[in-house]
Amino acid sequence: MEEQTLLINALQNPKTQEIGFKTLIKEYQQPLYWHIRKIVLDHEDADDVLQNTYIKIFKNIKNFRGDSKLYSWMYRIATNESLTFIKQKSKKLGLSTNEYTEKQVNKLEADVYFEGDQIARKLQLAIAKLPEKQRLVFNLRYFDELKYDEISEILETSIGSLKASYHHAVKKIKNEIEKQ
Amino acid sequence: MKLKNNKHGFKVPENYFDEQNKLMGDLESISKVHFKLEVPMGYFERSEHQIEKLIKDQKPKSKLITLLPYYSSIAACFLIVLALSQFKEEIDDPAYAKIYFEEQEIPFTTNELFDLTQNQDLEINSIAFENLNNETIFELQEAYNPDFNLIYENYED
Repeated sequence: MEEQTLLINALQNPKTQEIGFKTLIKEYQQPLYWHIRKIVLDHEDADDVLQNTYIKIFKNIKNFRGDSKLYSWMYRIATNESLTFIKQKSKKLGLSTNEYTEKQVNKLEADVYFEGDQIARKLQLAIAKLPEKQRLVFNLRYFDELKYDEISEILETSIGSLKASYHHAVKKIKNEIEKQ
Repeated sequence: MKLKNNKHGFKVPENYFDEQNKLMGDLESISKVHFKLEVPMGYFERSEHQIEKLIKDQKPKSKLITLLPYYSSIAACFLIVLALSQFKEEIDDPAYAKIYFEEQEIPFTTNELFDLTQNQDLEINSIAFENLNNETIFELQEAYNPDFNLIYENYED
């Protein structure tokens, strides 16, 4: 039986669920964390969102039918949780999500868990100014180096549309960096 | 702007693909050389245990009625017993009882638990108690109504 199927069976069976989740946490904790971190930027925020993500995974694993790959499904939950987090935070501060993300980027300079020079911050600032979908596609493709078909499963978007989003994102980032 | 032909009849601006490749090259050099996100030392180990604990806390606590951990118990069984007698018809429905106990989150003292287990009118067959120490469990066993089934989960050794 395929490894993923075994893991899903373990997760959906109350008797083996605990060991299934230990495996799931061990295997996916880091990739999910980094995916979330690139969206929310701050470590503490990423930690909160990661925990929420695992709770959502736990609560919904019984409904996972295996139509997509397990990691795509989890990435999708992590993405949604990260976006929801940003929306809630920006709403609280009376900012748009782009304004909020830009504010977070500007805090990077003082962030002890961010090691980057001015160009790196410029890149993050340019990414922050992208529309939500382009930002996600750019992060997944450029930093996580995922293939378009993998991104397509996570974001539930056609490959053609993803390519267009990535293309626009790259163009805007280049313009933005030149402008800064 | 001068456009370049291709075989499909569609056109792109001159040097379009060269610019794209150059742009990608520029972006690659930015991230590979200068960009690094870090986490506090030992974060992933700590986080792993924290998430496991969180998941454990999310698990359903019993089949029928879940009581809050014993140590958080403060009076209220009395209210529940009162409620049971006042709303017997509703309590007869196990789904209602479950919602009542879980959503009201009413904790119990030991005496109130005894009262509850002694209540002959109570038509609930089982209650699961979590996180009780051995002493409390023995006390409850001594006191419980033989028709009443106590289920113990995760109690302290």
